[in-house]
Amino acid sequence: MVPTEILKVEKRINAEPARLFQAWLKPEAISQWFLSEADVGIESVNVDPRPGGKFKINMLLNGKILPHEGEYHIIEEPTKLVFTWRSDATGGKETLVTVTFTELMDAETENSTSAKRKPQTLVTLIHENLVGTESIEKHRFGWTSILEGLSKWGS
Amino acid sequence: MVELKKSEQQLDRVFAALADSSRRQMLARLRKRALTISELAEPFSMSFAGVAKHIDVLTAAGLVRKMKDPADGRSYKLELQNRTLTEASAWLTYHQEFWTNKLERLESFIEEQDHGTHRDPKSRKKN
Repeated sequence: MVPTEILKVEKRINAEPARLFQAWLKPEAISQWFLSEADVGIESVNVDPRPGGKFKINMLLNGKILPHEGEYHIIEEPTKLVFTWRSDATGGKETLVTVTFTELMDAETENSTSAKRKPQTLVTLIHENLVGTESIEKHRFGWTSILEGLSKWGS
Repeated sequence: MVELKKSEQQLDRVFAALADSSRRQMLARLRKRALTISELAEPFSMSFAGVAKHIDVLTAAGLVRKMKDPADGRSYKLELQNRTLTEASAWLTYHQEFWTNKLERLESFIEEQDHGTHRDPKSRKKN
C-alpha cells in the first residue's frame, strides 16, 4: 500500500550518504546541526540508535524545554531511516518520519574520465500521520500541493 | 512556534474533507462568491442528496458556513471559510519549514566540517 505522502522535503548535499546518515544518529553531531532559529538551543540529546530504540532531543526556547522525541523503526545504513516523531508542534501526536539517502551521480563530471567524482547525496524526508489518515482515502500527491492548488483555483 | 488553535480532531476533519476531489472543486468554486446549493451543485453529475452530503462534511470541518440569504429569509447560501483553510495550511507549513531548515543546517554542518571551520555554537561551555 502506498503511504499517504503528507509532506516532503528534499535537499542535495555534497557528502557521501554514510556521512549524512551518521549525522542523524550521533548525539554530538545532532547537538551541532539540529538547531533551528538563533534563539533556540539544545539542552540535551539522547539517542539509542537501534530498531525499537528511543531518542529525545530537548530544545531550549526562552528557558523552556521543548522535547522532540520518538522511536527508531528502521535503521538501514546508509540509505534509510524511519522513526516516530512527537513534539509540541505535532500536538503531542505520534507522527512518522522517513529519511532516505540516495547517492547521486554527478553528471557534470561524466566527461572527465578519471576525475574523482564529488560525492553528492539526495536527502528526502517524508513526514506522515500529521493528520489522521485512517479516514482519508489514499492519494498520490502531497497535502502541500493540495492546499496550494486550492488557493490557486478559482482565483 | 505557531499557535495551532484547531483541535486534533478538527484538523483531521479538515484534511479528511479535503481528501475528496469533488469537495475540493466545490471549495474552489466558493472562492469566487457564496453560492446556493443548486448553484454549487450545477456542474456536478451527482444527485442533490450526494451534493448535500458533501456540503455536510465541509460544514462539519468548518470549511463552509451556511448563511441565510438576507434577500430571502428561507433560503441560504454557502460561504467559504478561508480561515480554516489557512489554519490547515499553517499546520503543514510549520513542519515543512521545520524540516527544510533542518536539512539546510545539516548542509552547513557538513560544509563547516569540510572546511575545518566548525565553531561550536556554545563555545563557552557551562560546567
